[in-house]
Amino acid sequence: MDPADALAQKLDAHRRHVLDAAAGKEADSFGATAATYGVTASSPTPEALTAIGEAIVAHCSEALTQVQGQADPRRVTFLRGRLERYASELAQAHQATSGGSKLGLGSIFANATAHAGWTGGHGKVRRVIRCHRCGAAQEQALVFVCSYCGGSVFPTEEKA
Amino acid sequence: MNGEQKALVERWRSFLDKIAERQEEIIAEATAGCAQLAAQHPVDSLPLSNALSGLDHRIRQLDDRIEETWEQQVEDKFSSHGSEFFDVGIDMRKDAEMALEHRWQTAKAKIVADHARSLYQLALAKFDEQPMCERCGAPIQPASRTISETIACGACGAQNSYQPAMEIQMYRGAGAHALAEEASLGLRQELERWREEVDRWRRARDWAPEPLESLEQWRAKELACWQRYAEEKAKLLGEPVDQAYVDSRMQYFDKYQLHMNQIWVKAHGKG
Repeated sequence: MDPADALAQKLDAHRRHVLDAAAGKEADSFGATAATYGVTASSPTPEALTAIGEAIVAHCSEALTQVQGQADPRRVTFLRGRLERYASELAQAHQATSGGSKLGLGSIFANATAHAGWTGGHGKVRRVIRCHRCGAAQEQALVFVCSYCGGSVFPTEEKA
Repeated sequence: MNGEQKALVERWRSFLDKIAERQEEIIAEATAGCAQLAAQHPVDSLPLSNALSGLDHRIRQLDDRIEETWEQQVEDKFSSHGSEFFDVGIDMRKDAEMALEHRWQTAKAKIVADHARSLYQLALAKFDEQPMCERCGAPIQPASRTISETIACGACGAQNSYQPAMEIQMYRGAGAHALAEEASLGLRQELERWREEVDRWRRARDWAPEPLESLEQWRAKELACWQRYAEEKAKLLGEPVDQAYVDSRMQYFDKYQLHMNQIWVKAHGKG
């Protein structure tokens, strides 16, 4: 599994654990769960959930930096986008599931954002292909021999 | 209709009205929630799509309640008064189910179309942005802002692989489809209501075959739905009407509806 995907799964697991604790579905009290994230709180207020979210983000950001070299760059970009929104969305998700909706639609909206941000790593408006050896830009479309160093623009299997 | 029958109709009507009220409450909350979600994720359609799937399920639960109540508590009471009165009950049920379905379709189409309308504004703003060469920063001129292409930089000669902005891609894909669907939905729902009337006409005549004129009318209405969709989409995208798409939809309709009908086949063949 891609290391970024493994981290994304951990984020999901933390989210479930914290939201369950906030909803009183865990064996431990919310205060005890908050303490495991280094947060002192007796009830699941938006501030407490945001603080827990920030603690998870800090931990995962560090882990992401460590595995960045081995992970797919697009997945890393996607995960960074998720981390930016994670803490605020955690608080919103709890609010939505715990009383924001009279009809019980809160969980639908809370879960809807779980995989948001797929557009984050895509849609770059333009790219220039550069020679992997000397860094010169491709000057003719569909010609993959570097006009400066004469080598192949892309690494060949033997050289890769 | 005697007093007992009237009371039964009243009770059944009252139950169905309560289901419709419940649906209105769900739609009101869903519309507000979806608008908020769309504002938080203006380009990413996935959260909205996820939410609508969840809401679909909630709406289906209302249908299930009608079905369960009919089967467990109402059906026997209506059938005990004879087949004609039974039809009154079943028609009320079908009308209510269709009204629920159409109301949700309309609400959902508006939610998705509202998202597309805001996406359109974002896409327009992207048209005003000047793309620059990724290598030297000189302006490059794509022939179109809506398709991918390779552009040689006039200043440094580097080949820029240009892709339309995500806002433009999303509007041209999902956005235009949503708006065209919203525009053609009224025709589709009218067609469905009319098909229900045709069924009742046949039932009143001991399930007589549908006349050829009615089948021809059906085909014309079906064609009008697809034509409206294709024309609206073409207008939104500034492109010719995709007649091949309309034809493919009609081929499917002919094959699975009209070509199964002996009266149609006798008159028009399967061509």
